[in-house]
Amino acid sequence: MPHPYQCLLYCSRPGQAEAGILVASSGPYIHTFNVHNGTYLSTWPSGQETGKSSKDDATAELGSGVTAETETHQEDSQRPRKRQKLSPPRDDSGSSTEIVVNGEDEDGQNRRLKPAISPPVIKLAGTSNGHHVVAVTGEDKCIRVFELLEDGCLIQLSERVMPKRPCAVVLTPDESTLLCADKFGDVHSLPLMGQTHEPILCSADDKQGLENGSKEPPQRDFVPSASSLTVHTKGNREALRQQQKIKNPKAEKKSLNFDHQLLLGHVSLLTDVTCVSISSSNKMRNYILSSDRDEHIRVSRGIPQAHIIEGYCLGHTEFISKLCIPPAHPHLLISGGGDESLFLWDWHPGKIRQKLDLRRPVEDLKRRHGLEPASAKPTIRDQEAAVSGDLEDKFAISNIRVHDWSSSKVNKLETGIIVSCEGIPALFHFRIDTEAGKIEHMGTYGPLEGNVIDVAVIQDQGAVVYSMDTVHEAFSTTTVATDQVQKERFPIGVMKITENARSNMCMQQHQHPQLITAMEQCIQRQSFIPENLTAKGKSMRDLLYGLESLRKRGGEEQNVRDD
Amino acid sequence: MPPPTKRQKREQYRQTHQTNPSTSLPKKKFYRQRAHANPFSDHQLTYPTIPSQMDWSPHYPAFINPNATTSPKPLTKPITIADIGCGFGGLLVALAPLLPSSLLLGLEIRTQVTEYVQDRISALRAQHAPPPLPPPISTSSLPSPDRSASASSSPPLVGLYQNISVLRTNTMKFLPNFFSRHQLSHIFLCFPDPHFKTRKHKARIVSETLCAEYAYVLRPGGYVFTITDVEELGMWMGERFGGFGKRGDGGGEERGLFERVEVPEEGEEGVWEREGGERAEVGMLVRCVREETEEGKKVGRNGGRKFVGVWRRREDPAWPGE
Ligand SMILES: C[S@@+](CC[C@H](N)C(=O)[O-])C[C@H]1O[C@@H](n2cnc3c(N)ncnc32)[C@H](O)[C@@H]1O
Repeated sequence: MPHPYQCLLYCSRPGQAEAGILVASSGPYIHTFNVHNGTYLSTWPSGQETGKSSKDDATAELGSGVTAETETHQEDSQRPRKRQKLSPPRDDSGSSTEIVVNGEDEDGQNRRLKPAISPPVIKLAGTSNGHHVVAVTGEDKCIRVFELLEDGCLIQLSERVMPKRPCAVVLTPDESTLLCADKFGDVHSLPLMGQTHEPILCSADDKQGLENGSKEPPQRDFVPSASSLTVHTKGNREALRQQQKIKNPKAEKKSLNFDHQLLLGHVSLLTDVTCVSISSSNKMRNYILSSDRDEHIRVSRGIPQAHIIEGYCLGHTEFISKLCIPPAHPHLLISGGGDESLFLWDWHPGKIRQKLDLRRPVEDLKRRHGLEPASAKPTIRDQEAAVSGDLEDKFAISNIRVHDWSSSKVNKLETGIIVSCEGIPALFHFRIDTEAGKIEHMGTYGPLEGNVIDVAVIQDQGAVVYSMDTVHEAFSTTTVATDQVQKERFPIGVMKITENARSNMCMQQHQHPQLITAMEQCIQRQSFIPENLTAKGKSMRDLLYGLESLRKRGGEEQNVRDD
Repeated sequence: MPPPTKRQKREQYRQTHQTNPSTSLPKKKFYRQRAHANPFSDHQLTYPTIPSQMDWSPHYPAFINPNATTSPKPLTKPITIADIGCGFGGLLVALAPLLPSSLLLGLEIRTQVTEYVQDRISALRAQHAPPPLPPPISTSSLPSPDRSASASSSPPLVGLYQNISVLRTNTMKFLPNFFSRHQLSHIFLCFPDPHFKTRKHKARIVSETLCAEYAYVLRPGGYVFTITDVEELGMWMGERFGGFGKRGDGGGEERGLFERVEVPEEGEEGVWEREGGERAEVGMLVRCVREETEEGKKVGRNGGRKFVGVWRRREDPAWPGE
C-alpha cells in the first residue's frame, strides 16, 4: 500500500516558473518533481532507490543520475552525528548509499537500511527564492535544512534536534531565521544557516541539557560570513565551523548543540506560528503571531522584542490550527481551527471582521456525495468519535493557502484563499473582497476521490496541487478503503485557477497526467515504509489527521480530585 | 445504610453553606483538596472568549451599573488588582477594607479552595452589610445614572468586602481572557507552588515566558509582588522578573522591563507606612503579603523565612530603530 503525500511545498526561483519544483513528502521520504513538465527529479534520503534497484528495474530509472550526484554531495555534507532516541543508532558514519554499495546481502541490506530512515516529515517550509527547504520530522524532533538544487536534489545542510516536538516552522520576513513552535508551547528562533557545534557527545549531561535548553540564557545568533551558496563544500563547511568555534567559545558547553533562542511561550500546545512586517508611520515593524490549543492567537513583537505581547486575537471557541496572513493584505489574518469557521481578523487591533461558518458547505458536500450512487455512504463516521457522540460531525480546518489572481479580461487583481478540512474530500475556494473587507465563498470543489491532506499553490503557473488520502474512505478518518478502491485512487490532483464567464476567479480540474503519474509511480516504488505507518497503524492516522486530537474532551475533571 | 463518607459530609456541608448564605464563616476542613493541580491539563473551566464578554455581576453586584443596556452589564470600574493563586483568600480579605476603592480579584485553580473563598466572601459581606437605605424622598425621583456612581464613590453605602471576589481558572493559560492589555495596577504572586524538579520548571507560575503575560496585563508603573519561603524559588522569580526583556541578542534592552523596588525589612513595614507616598503603599502591601496570606501565617508560625520581591513595570521599550 503506497503512503499518501502528507506535505507539499512549491519552490520556484523568481522568473523560472518552468523549473518550479514541487517538494512532496510521503512518510519519511521527500521527493521532488518538476511541476511544469511533470517529471520526477529526486528523493531524499537518496539511499533507498539504490537499495531497491537490485530487484526492481523500474527504480533504476527513478534514481538514475540522481543517486550518484547525491552521493557525492553527501560525502561533503555534514554527517548526522546524533540519532534520535527512537531509532536504533547508526553503526557507522556512512550514508545509506554507501552501505548498499558496500555490497550487503539482501537481508543485511534491509536490516541496515531501516535505521537510516527518519520518522515521517510533518512540516515543510521553504525560502521565497526557492533555494532552501526546511523539513521537520516529528518523532525525533528534528529540523533539517536542505539546499534545493536546480535539478531537484536536496542537499542536507544541517540537522538540529529541538528540545520538544516542533508543531510549526516558519521563516522570519528577512528569511535569515527559523521560528519553531513546539508542543510545549515555546517558540524558539534558530539561524536558518546555523549548524550544530562539535563535538557532540550524547552524554547524560546532554540529555539533561535538552530538557533545560529553553531555560538557558539566550545565546547570540551566529551569523555565518559564508553565503548559503558556498556552505555545501567541504572546505567551506570546515571554515564555517572553525569560525563558529571562535565566535562562540562557550557554545560547546551549552547543552543544545546549536544556536537557538527562546522567544516566547504559551502554557499550551502551539499549533501554528507566522511572521509579518507591516509599516507603521513609514517604519517597518515585525510581528510574530502564535496560536494555541486553548483558542488564543497571540500577537508579539518580532525579534529582538518578541517578549513584548502587543495583543491577542480572541474569538475562537475551539483549538486553532492554522494562521494565514495574505502577503497582499498584511493587516489581515485568516485563521481556522476546530470551530468549523474561518475567521477574518484585523490582527493588530485584534478585531474580528468576519466569521464564516463552513458547516453549510460541508453539509452540502456530504449531501451531494450521498446522492452519488456508487460512492460510499456519507454516514460512515469516525467510529471512535461516534462512541463519544458529540464529535460526530465536527471537523477542523487543516489548510489555509492564499494565491494571487488577476483577470485576463478586466482590470482585477485579487487574493484567493483555498481551504481544506480534515477528513473532507474537497477544496473550498474564497476571495478577499477588499472593498467590503470580507471573505466571499466562490465555490466548493468536491467531493474529490479522497480526503484532502495538503495543498500547495503553484503561483507562477496559476495552479494548485493537492494531495489526497489514498488509504481511508472519503469523509472518514478511520475507515480503511478496500484494496480495490485504494488501487484506483490518485494521490494528488491539480486544479487550474482561472476565471468564469463573469470574470470572477474560479478553479477547474486540470489534467496534468505527467505530474500525476510521476507522483503516483513514485510512491508505488517507495521501497520501505516502516510498519507503523501502514494503513492499520494509528500513526498513519495521527500523521494525516492529527488535528482532531486537539479537541478538548470535556468530561470529568482531570488531575484535580478530592483526596 | 453505611455512615456518610468524609467526602459526602464535605459535599453536604458545602452545599448547605452555598444555598443558605449565612454570616458564619466557612470551615476550611470541608474544602480540602489535593495540594497541586496540573496547570497543563484541561480542567473543566469556564472562561470568556474575550474580557468584555465576562459577566462580573455575580462577583461584584455592588459595582454593576444596573441601567446598562449592554450584555453582560459592565463593571462601573475595572478590576485592577489580581491575586494569582490566591489559595484560601487571606490576602484578599485583608486588602478589601484597606483598598476600598479598588476592585480585587483572586484567581485559583482548585475548585474547592475557590468555593471556600467564595463562601468566605459571602459570609463577610453578610456580616458587614450596609444599613438599609433610607426610604426614597419622593416617588418622582428618577433612577438617575448617578446612583451607581455615588454608590462607588461613597464606600460606606456599598458595604465591606463588596470589592473582592474570586474565580476558578488556570491563570497560566487564561489570564488574557479576563484582563485586557495594561488593565492591572498590582499583581500578587504569593507563595507559589515551588515545582522543584528542573523538568517541571515550566509548571512554575513565574517563568520567563509567563512574565510576558504579566507584563501584558500590567500597566506601565504597575507592581508585581512575589513572596516565597523557598529561597531558591525567590531567586528564580527575581531572575525571571529582573532579567525579563534584558536580552543578550544585540537588540535587547540595557534594562529589563521590570525594575526592582526596595522593600522594608521584616518588622519595618509600619515605619514605611507612616512615611507616605510609594513607600507607604509598598510598606502596607508587603506587610499584608508577609502576614495576611495563609501561607505567610503558616511560615511565620514555624519561624521560617520569607523572601519578598517587588517589581515596577516600565514602559514598553521603543521599537527597534525608532
Ligand atoms: C501554596 S498556595 C498559596 C496560596 C496563597 N497565595 C497564600 O499565600 O496563602 C499556591 C496556590 O496557587 C494555586 N495555583 C497553582 N497554579 C495555579 C494556576 N495555574 N492558576 C491558578 N491558581 C494556581 C494553587 O492551587 C494554590 O492554591
